[in-house]
Amino acid sequence: MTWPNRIRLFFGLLVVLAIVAVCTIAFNQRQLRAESASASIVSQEYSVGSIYAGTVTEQLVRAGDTVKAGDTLFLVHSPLLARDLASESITESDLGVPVDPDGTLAVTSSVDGTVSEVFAPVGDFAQSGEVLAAIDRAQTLTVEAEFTLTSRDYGRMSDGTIVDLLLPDDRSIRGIVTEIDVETVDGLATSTVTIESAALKAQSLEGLYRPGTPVRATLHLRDDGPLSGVSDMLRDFREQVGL
Amino acid sequence: MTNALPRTHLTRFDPAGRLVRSSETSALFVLISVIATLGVVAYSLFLLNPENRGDVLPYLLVLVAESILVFQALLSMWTILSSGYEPRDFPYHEAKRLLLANADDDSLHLDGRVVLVDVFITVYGEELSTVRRTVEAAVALRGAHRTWVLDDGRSDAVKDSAAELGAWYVRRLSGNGAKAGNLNHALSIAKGDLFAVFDADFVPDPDFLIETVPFFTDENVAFVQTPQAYGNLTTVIARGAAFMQTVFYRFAQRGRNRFNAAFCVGTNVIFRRAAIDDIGGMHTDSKSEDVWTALSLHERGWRSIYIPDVLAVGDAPETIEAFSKQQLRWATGGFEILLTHNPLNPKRRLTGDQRIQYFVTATFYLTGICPLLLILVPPLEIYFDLRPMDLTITPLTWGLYYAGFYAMQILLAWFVVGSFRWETLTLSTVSFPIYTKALWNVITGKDVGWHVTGTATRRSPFNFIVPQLLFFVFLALTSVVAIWRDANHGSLTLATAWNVTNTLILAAFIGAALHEHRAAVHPRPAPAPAAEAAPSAVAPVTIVARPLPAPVLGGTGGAAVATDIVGPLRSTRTRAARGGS
Repeated sequence: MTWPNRIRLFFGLLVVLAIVAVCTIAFNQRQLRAESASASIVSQEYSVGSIYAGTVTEQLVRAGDTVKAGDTLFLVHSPLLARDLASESITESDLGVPVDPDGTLAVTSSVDGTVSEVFAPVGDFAQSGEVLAAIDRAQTLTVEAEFTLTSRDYGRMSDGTIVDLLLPDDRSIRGIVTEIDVETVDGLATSTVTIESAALKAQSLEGLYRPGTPVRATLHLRDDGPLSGVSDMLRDFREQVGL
Repeated sequence: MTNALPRTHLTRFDPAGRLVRSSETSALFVLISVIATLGVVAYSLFLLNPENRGDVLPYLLVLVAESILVFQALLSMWTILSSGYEPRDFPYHEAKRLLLANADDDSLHLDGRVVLVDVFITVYGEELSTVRRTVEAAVALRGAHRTWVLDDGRSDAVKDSAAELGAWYVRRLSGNGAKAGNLNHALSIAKGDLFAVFDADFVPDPDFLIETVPFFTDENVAFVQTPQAYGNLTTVIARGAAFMQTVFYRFAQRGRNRFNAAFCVGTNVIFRRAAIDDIGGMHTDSKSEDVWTALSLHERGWRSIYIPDVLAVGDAPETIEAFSKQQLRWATGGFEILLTHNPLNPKRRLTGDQRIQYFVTATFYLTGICPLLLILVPPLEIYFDLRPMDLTITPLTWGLYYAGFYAMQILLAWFVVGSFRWETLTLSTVSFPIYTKALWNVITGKDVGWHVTGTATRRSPFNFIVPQLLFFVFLALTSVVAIWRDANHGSLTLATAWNVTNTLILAAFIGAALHEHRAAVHPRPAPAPAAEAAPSAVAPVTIVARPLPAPVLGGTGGAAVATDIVGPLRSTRTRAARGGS
């Protein structure tokens, strides 16, 4: 080979090695991530019911309304209650909710949140203990995500694993795994993971931040491959120089 | 009759040594072509189906590459299906019967008139033994003719040999226009009605003129082209390069014949001088003067003939260097047509058939760039998880469609060549740097030196395959990463399989280069192939009444070219008029 060609080959090899190195690190980073098969925002749901059987006489909220603890949601007229009050076998203080002597009972919300659904419109007869409405409790938004993982990747995930959540508007928030539920199908771990995020919890229930909103969850798996040291070193370096 | 034909890549023999009749006219072949066409269509529909679309970058790479390949495959199958065309008509046979009308000498007669035929052998530094073999065979051609050795290599040994073997020797002192310039210069001296052209390594069959000259009874025929058959199938490169052209000479050229678009390949061809005069001489502005000359002739309405009979046997490029330079030259010529002389342009005076055929020629070498795009697809998946096709398709479905195209093409090629040639597959996969360079050169207008195909310099082949070496290293390392990934996941992926395959193909090529390198460093004593190429075919040389060249030495109007012309056996040196504007 001629010397110019040797030099070309030498520098070419350097470039190839650099490309492979960069690509391998990118590949390794990707290996440490797992994308959710499906993920969505969920919240604690709170049901509201009437303690006495009766007819719903007034509905004060509709689905989507924001309510506070103690707000009256429904008025239920209950002859049974009227009889019990008359016989003084029960008093208003026993019930803890405002009642009228004619047997009208206020159904109140015991939590802050948003009315997600109303099951009993005015005129319905509600049995005792029947659910009249559902309330998404404020500040309880979490994400439930499903991952299909190899057993190896499953072993690299635990409570406290960091998760990136990408909302439909491309905003990204960070959360951690708090609960893992797993079922194995065809050798792959189909895991349902609950993810808590302080940023998500702080959100009030509006816009995209409501139960059912689809998100993309990316798990940061623990790196215990041969390149883990290299990746850590590069990450430290990046953070140190402020990138 | 069994061994009358030399063993070349265009001739096939059964185990008993009998010549296998060509499969071109086989009905089974037509059936396979039709099925292959269906496979191509199914594959393109599969690729274009939006539901199967994968990630954008690899999908585009695959789409571009496969579109070019599918386009070329479809058009070449159209050409192939048109190839059952026999150019020899009644006037030809009649002319052939009357060709040697004069019983006293072997002068060639056409339409009752003696035709003067010149045979040009273009020499540019080839080995003396090679040149001598060709000159000897050219002088011995049946039918009266003059043999001219056009030596651009300025070798005195060649000059002496020419005189000794009975050929005229012409040496010009400028190298303008390379081979075409050399021919144009010779045309200013030799004024025969027809002239045949042979490269220095192409040994013509004694019947070359007998088979080709009768075509010129049609006043419209500008040239008759015969195939380039290669006899030196000794190295991987030579076999790969030779068999790569099988389809072209067996089918494509024959099919093009029907469309009057068969083009000239620069050697083993005989021209009508009047036709070349009509276009102002051989085309000199290109590295591919042959295709351009044919294109100019077709634009002027001349007719071309191609006959598939092997009438000259030469050498395929044996070394990587020779192969690279040959392909670079041809590809440059093709891209030149595409970018500077688009045959689809309505300004060109071509028939619809010719437009399409020349467009196929001009775009053909794009197929050589496709492997570059396809090689990059598996690494994209391995490193970045970008897939060309949607994941919901099972690999089996994908494989079925893929086989519909590629397996059928390989079956077709197998049918054409008679066996599966891994060398061809290897060479066409690894040659993308050459074609990319050619395209780049044409786009940027960069000129590269002219090189004779057969010339073997003893330089290391690694000088010419730096890009391939780098790609090999890249693919090999990528394969390691891919295998590591698959080992972790516990499943083999298609990307890994493809990447390893590509790595192995490049490795095979680099192996061939190593082999060649070792042979160059430690040249073994010639393994005596001389016995095989025994001059048995060359019948006793009977030079009967060879006409002498017309005394035209000053007739070119005093072109500022100095010339040596040496006549056979006379060794009289004449110097042409120099200068005189």
